[in-house]
Amino acid sequence: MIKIDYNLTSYEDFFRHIAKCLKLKISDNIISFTPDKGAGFIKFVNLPNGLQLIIYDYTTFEDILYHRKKSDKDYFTLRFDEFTGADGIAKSSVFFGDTSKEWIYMAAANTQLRQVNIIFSKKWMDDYFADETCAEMLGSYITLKSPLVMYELMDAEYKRLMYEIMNLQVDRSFEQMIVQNRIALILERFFSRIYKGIENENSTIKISSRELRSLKQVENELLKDFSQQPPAIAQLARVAAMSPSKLKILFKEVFGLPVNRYYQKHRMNKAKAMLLSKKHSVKEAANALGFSSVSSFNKAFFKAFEEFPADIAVSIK
Amino acid sequence: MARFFHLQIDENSLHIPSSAGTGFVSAFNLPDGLSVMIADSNFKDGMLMHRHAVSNQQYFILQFNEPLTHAEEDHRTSAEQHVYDIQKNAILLTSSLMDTVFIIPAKVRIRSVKIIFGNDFLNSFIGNEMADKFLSNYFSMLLKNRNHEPIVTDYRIIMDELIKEKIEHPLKIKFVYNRALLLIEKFVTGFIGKLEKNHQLIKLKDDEISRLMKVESLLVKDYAGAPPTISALSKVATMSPTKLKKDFKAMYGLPVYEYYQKNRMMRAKALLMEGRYAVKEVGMMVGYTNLGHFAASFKKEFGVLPSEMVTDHRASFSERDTSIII
Repeated sequence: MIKIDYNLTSYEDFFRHIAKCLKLKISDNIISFTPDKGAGFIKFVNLPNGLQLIIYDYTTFEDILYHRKKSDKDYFTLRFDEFTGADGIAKSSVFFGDTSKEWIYMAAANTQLRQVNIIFSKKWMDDYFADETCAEMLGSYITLKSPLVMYELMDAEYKRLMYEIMNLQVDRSFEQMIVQNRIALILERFFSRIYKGIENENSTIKISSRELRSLKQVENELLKDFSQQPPAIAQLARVAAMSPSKLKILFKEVFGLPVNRYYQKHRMNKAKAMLLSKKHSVKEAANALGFSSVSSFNKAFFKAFEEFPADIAVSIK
Repeated sequence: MARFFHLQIDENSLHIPSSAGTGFVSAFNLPDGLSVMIADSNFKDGMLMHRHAVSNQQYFILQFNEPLTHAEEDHRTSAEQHVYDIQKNAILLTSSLMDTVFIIPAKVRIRSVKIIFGNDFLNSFIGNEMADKFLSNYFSMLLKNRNHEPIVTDYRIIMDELIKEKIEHPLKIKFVYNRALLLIEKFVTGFIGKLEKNHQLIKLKDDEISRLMKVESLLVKDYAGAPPTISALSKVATMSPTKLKKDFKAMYGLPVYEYYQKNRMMRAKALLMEGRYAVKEVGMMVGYTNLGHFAASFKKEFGVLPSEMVTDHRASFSERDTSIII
């Protein structure tokens, strides 16, 4: 397995870092895979409007684990990822979040990866929203949902735009314009869909900005330490200064899951990340995450990912 | 224009008073020095709009005009230089350094989008070299009056999205800006593409072109019924069916019915993307009674089923995936 650790918020630097880790050469902002390592390319694009992109279209012979460490800078990434396994089944997702938390993903061997990833600063996003009527609503929604603002399946229209960016068949002078215009359409579509989502949500429940801040605190408190029992609802309700029943309703509305399931989801994510990093044994992970026994850890892990902790430890060598 | 008609501007848009005609005009100032004027208008009197040359500052005006009805042609004026009948020059790029006159016919409903941009913008958009190549070739051909770029459905769909009295969009400025850029993109890449293929369009005569434009607008006007027959179209064009077929393909790049079908599917897609109609409704709106046929034709054109365009994926997503936030 090749590990790529980074905490960069410049895709240009990250791109060079990838080339170094993979021991491949960069030519004209493109990393081409050599036949001993895989097939395809990774391409860096710097757009004049301040956006940086990395476009991936490759298959490797070895697993690659990307591990982003926490960054203290305010950056956001919007990713369109498609993985096609040897069985021909494609999984695809749209991911939007900030860089304040650790984040990992696995590019499994012999899987075709097609991705268009975009990075921009908080400031860039604020400028983008400036003068638009949706600015305030989108801004506060994104702050609230960060670090993971959106994670959903990619639909046909995103795929079309993504493929247009990946398969450019135009005069070279036009490449940048075509890419920039498609990226502009992607961003417009993405943010207006979020906006429509908020409008729908808000039609059922009204939440004040003070309540939103409280909920954010509750979330912090909840995910602070997985080795201990999660805080009781009553305790969280005190943090939020609202009644337990109101907290439960609002929490689910904002974070999409009930308190305990939300806690459990993040706890299992942490578990998977620990195992993927190969620095921890199954037993250590179970202990660190407060499981009383390896078998109850196994059970919970299987429930979350439909595979056992040992499978991950074995499948990644 | 508002001052000319003594009108109040409401936000970005003004309503044409009933004494002068019907419709609206709206304008947007956009980033990068772009501005856009959008209109759907029908004036009682014909108008000549005279733009005086300015020498201190060069900017370009790219305009898309689509008349929905055709007025009687006026042959008197067309010989002069830099006088453009917007019925014939549906898509036209002019420069502020030229003294130009536009003829806007009376009692014709015209939908139009005009985009104003500077030289710097074009340079950063496509690079200095390409910008020079594009502009020098374009204007030399404009002098010879050989730039008849018809409005095809690609353009029409973008125009439809823009030509609304009130654009409802949470990112309204980006929405207008992105579409203006797409129009410029299509226009520039289309022109350069033709230039490089040494397009035979040039061989067509002026009035043949305007007759073919009439045929095209008739062909794509309505998808609910059966398309007009070739013989009906050849009557409109006053040419033989053989000549019509050949010239149509030369001008629009596809045989008549392939063009019809492609546009029909593009219309269907645009309707689906609006998100207001069910697949079945859209199928009927573009003239399919059999939903299976509609789905198959749609898939043939775009590689996905119409239902795949409208599914909301949010609900069905499970996070058992390859990436994890810790």
